Amino acid sequence: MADIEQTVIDIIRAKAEDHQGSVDRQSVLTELGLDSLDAIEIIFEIETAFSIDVPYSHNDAGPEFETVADVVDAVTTALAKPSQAV
Amino acid sequence: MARRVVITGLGIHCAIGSGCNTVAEALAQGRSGVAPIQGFDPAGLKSPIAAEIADFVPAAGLTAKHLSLLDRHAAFAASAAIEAVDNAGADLAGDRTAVIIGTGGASLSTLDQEYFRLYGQAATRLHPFTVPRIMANAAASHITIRYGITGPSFTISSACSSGAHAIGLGYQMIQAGLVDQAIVGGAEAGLTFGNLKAWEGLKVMAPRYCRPFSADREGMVMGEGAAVVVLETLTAAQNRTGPVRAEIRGFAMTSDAHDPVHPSLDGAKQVLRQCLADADLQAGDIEYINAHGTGTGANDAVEAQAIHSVFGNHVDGLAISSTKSMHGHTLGAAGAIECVVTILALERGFLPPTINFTTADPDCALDVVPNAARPCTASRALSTSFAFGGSNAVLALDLDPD
Repeated sequence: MADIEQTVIDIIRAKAEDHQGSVDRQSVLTELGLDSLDAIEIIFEIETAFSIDVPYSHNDAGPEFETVADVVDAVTTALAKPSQAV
Repeated sequence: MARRVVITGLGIHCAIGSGCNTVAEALAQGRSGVAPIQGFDPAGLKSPIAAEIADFVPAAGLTAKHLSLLDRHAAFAASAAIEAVDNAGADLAGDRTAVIIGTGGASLSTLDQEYFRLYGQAATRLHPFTVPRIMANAAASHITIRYGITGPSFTISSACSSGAHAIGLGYQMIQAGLVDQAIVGGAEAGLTFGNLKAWEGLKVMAPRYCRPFSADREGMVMGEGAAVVVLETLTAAQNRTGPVRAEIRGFAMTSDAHDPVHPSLDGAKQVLRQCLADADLQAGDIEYINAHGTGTGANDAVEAQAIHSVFGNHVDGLAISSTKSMHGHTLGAAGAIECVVTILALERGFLPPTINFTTADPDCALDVVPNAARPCTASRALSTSFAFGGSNAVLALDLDPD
């Protein structure tokens, strides 16, 4: 679990260029200067790192990732469903 | 006074038909061209659907030798050009004709196929015509050779505005007196596993349906095809009693200077206003808009808001539809296909529908001609294109010029 969180934080921190010291579970993605394009790239890197499929569409309302914890939870959920692995 | 420019020939190939008549029938019936992909095994794609030309039959006159030199998109373009020139009936040879074809990805089909052989199958040689097939101006070049056209010819690439830019630039070149005639349009054939995987990464592809402006829209569906039109001056067309299918009343192109993939409300409003100004028309003069209407969350809401802003109270009498719901998003061909589709529908007296529509979206409160074509007497229309890269283009058409 801690490893998942750390990996997610590392990926997000690499994108949050101006806020590298301050990324933790409670960080709000938009406050890190991250926009929806960054979110798509972050999801790609997470999917690749964990060999999972994070359900996300740019066309509907959810799931929205507001905080780092939301992303960690989505990864944890996806990892708990072996059939989702790609 | 600027020279008036008219369309005298139309040609089209897309998922809902090959040729003007079959496409017009499909539009009238609200028939979808979207189906499970047949051209390759779509296993592994989250959106295994497309608006594909499943059984492409090239126009008569395109021989095996011609086709051997043409990427799939260029074969579509050549076929559409043959139809357009045939029904225009004009003599286009010489240096007073321009050929301008728009395409987004140029030769994706050839690249995907040949590079797969090289990297995936350890082929030691590629097809000897790979280079002439992948050059982006292959379609324009073929058309000049076919018709003996020695005026300017080139390819425009501005993503999903390419086809509209090609038509608009031809209009401007004739208006300015640089040439007297033009063969212009757009073509795209990007339905490859590699390209669809690339689009999948943007999280904008619909898994099942393209339903533009519907509250439950789920994204875009990729299409393929080409449309080509023949442009002449109104005077020349009248003098030879050629078929005047529509006048290009106006054209505008702008850039958002905003974001590579997200639409801009200001950019959309600006290009709509500039097109009306170029056409010397008021908002209330427009009766139909063939919308960009990709079916993505972002595009449709921003486009609807821009239309409300520019048309104000006139929105009440305005019909807007996205025919991408039927022929898919044909990217570099879209502006040209949607220009031709608009003419085919209006000249037969109907508005083409937005199919797959289920639920009104308060963010897209427009008459989108849901699900079924509707009789109309409209003659003045716009066709909008809002491309990735922030590149916008709008054409104003009048089917009943004075």
